[in-house]
Amino acid sequence: MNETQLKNLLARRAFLQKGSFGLGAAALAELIGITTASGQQQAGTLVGTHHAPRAKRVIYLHMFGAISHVDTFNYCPELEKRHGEQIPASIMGDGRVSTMVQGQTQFPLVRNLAPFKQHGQSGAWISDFWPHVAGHADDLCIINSMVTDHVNHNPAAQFLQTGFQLAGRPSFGSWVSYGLGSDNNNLPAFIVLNNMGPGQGQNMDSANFGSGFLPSHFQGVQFMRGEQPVHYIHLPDGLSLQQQGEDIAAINALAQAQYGESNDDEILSKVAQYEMAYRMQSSVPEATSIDDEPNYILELYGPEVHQPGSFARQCLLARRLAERNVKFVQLFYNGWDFHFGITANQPVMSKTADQPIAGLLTDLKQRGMLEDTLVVFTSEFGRTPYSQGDINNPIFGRDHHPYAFSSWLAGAGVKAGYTHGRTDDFGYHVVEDPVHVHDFNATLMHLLGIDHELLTFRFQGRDFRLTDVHGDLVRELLG
Amino acid sequence: MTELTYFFGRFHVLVLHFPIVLVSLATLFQFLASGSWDRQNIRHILPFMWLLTFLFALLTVLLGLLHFTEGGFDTPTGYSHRNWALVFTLLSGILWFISAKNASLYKKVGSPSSLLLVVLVLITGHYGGNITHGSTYLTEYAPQPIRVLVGADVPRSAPLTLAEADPWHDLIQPMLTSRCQSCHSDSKQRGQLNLSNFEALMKGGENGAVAVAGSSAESEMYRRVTLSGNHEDFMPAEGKTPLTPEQVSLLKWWLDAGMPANTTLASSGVDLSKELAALAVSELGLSSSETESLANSLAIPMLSQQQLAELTKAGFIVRLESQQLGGYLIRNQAPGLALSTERVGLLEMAAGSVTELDLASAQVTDDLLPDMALFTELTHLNLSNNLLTDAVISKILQTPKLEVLNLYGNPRITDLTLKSLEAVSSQQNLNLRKLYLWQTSVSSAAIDSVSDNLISIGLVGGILDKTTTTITESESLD
Repeated sequence: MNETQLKNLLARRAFLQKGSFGLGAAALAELIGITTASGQQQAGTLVGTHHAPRAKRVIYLHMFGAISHVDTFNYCPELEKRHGEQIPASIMGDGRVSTMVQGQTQFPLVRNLAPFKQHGQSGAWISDFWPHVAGHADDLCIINSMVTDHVNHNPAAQFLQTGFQLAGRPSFGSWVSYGLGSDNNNLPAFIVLNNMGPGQGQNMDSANFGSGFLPSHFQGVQFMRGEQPVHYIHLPDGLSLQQQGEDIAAINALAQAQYGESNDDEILSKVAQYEMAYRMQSSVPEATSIDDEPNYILELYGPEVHQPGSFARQCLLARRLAERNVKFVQLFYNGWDFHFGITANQPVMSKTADQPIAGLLTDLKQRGMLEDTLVVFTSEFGRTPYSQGDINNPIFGRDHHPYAFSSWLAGAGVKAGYTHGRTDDFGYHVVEDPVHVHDFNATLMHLLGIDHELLTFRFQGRDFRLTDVHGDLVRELLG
Repeated sequence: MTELTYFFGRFHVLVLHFPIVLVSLATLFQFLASGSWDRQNIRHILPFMWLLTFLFALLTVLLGLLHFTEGGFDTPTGYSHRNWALVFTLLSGILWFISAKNASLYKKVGSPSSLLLVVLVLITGHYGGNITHGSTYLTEYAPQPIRVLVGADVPRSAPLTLAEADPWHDLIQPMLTSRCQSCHSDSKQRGQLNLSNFEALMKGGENGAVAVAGSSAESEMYRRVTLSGNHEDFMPAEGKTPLTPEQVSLLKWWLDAGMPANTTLASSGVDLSKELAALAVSELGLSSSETESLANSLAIPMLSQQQLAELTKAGFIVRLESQQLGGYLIRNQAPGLALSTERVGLLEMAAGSVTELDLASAQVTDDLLPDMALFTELTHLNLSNNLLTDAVISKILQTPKLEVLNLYGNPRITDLTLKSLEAVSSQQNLNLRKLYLWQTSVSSAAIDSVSDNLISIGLVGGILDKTTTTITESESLD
């Protein structure tokens, strides 16, 4: 931890004395002997953004397990016509397929599992799995030419989120938190909301939102699904906030002493996290309570919003956190991995996501927040246009597909009502304007005012960045 | 065979000087011989001189025709050069024949013919020079009256500041002229590529486009100038002076910025880093202090450390928006933290540097609204969830660059605000493109029936009647 970071740390502590928590905070500040408010914020490493940012915060919806692009946002009428026929060899080529279908000798094409229609003035093609999101067609910037290098969930998700397929690199949110700092000293800059829908789930690695080699307080702070999003957020019986503060001050004083001896930067991270946890005892219950949300707002997110821990509730929480200027809110919605039974189960899963996401867009828009909040919707890859398993058996599915998939962006600075890129008629390969995962990340960084080549961290003798040595800004996606 | 042809063809540019010297020397001898003194003997050498002229002219023409096959010369200038050279060669041959076979005839036509040949060689040479150096070579540094006299393009007056420089005309085109035009001009188009003007550049060459607006990575011309010097595709070819690293950086910037042309740097809105600005300044030959004044002309003034500290202490979050162009986002540190006269005073002191101001949920009343006329650079203003009335819209519109205004959650804002907005927009041009009005008293009818004056502004009303999930929104042009 360098001198600036240390100063930030002290400044965060100084904030406590500003009285946003009343007596407890003031008492704590006094207790740890800080008498002057330096007035410094929890700034990031960057003195300012490289260029004026269009996005001030991000709500990142990662559909973990991989949504089938040909059933959602990439309309391929040829699949309808050729349902049951073998995928042409000229299309499939001899590119690798996953081990799950390697033994397969038949690769019959599967039709779009829901009818597609054109929506909005832009005429974007969206399938009937997304009736509510389709209502926002003119707000979306759909990318049908996403490409990744990896074919299994966690490698591909880490490739997308950290720029590398193995665990250990900082994730997008932690880069943003490291680079830009926080606009709300009482909440973490990077909050993660995990969820498992009624579909087929996969184990998800926490490296997808880890801080890698960045100081560990930049990692995504995970909120739980239950009634209480953070464990032990409420004070134990018989303990006052002031006593709690005194405890933390004492622990941190010991930690500081230890840091004086060992100079281990992780101790400072721990101090920072204790302090953040202390402040979160007040801020989290307020931010995550929906008591002050009127019914007509709750209805936007659909009936499941009343159920704590539902994806709908998490979408509402995402708005509430974004409203409190949390820089990076990331929702991992797990359950799209339909190797089997896709016809029966995909509609169920889509239904739980459609209205909440549309509600989130509506709610952000009417508050003017879509102006400077970037909403990202993506998977780690797509699904095969051909069937996994016997197509005549109703439980067939679709396998992993890295060569083409679909994502969309909405809000801050993206070209709304626009569909970018094209695949071949079967949704197999990208044939026009490919957007590689690194290009995608470079573009998201750009929207946040960051030049992806300039935000680096020196580790093991090398300056690392999110896009490694790759990534080109895709200007066509900018509004 | 072709390569051998090219090999010999290249000697054209060497050999062509011989007939020029010979015809000049022969003409000199011709006039010396026609004098009256004892130089008469010189005339005996004249047939030999014309023979030499003719033979070297013939050799030059033959080599020239070989050189022509290399391509890129099939322009009007190229054809003129060839045709005049043929005429010259033919006439020099005839003159040799006369001088050798018919002394009496030669006596009559010798002097005027030799003068004619000199004129012909000048014309031929001029076309040749145009091919090699570009058609503006002679007039490039000519004094203004001469340029006007010969009808040459009057040059753009050099920009005095970087801000008023045209990215294409002042930065990129001069670079291409000096480094590329000897092969890619109106008169010579190797690979069918002409780089002498913007339209021709956009047209590209025999392999298609060479420049892709917004992407140096996809631009063939950028690839060619950044290859290793011994790569066969490297440009400029044939060991001609390559672009300097500075020129390459400027070219990259220009391509990535979308190839802005016929505008000024200041109004094109493209970012130019300090380093690049310094390069551009030296390319333009402006004084180095210009880099400083560039910061003033393009960028928004920085806040002092003291101002930053005071604003932060007063409960504002202050963020520098662009390392290159400046501008700050100022935001109320915590929702509910009320605005006060003192805090407004601090904001007003910083006003000229603020590009985005977020005073949501700050209990702002009409009286506490800062003097908006001071906010000359403001583009985004968030006043949501406050206590403002219809009286503020005309004050808000005093900030000239406002693009996005958020008034949601001000219940005392009514249809009158839209009326005032229409009144102002009929008198002055507004930059406003989005106005948020959810949870105000503005009716959905008023939003739906917005007049033509306001059609370019997106009015977002939100779910006004609380019974649908559809947002009331005006039809806007964008």
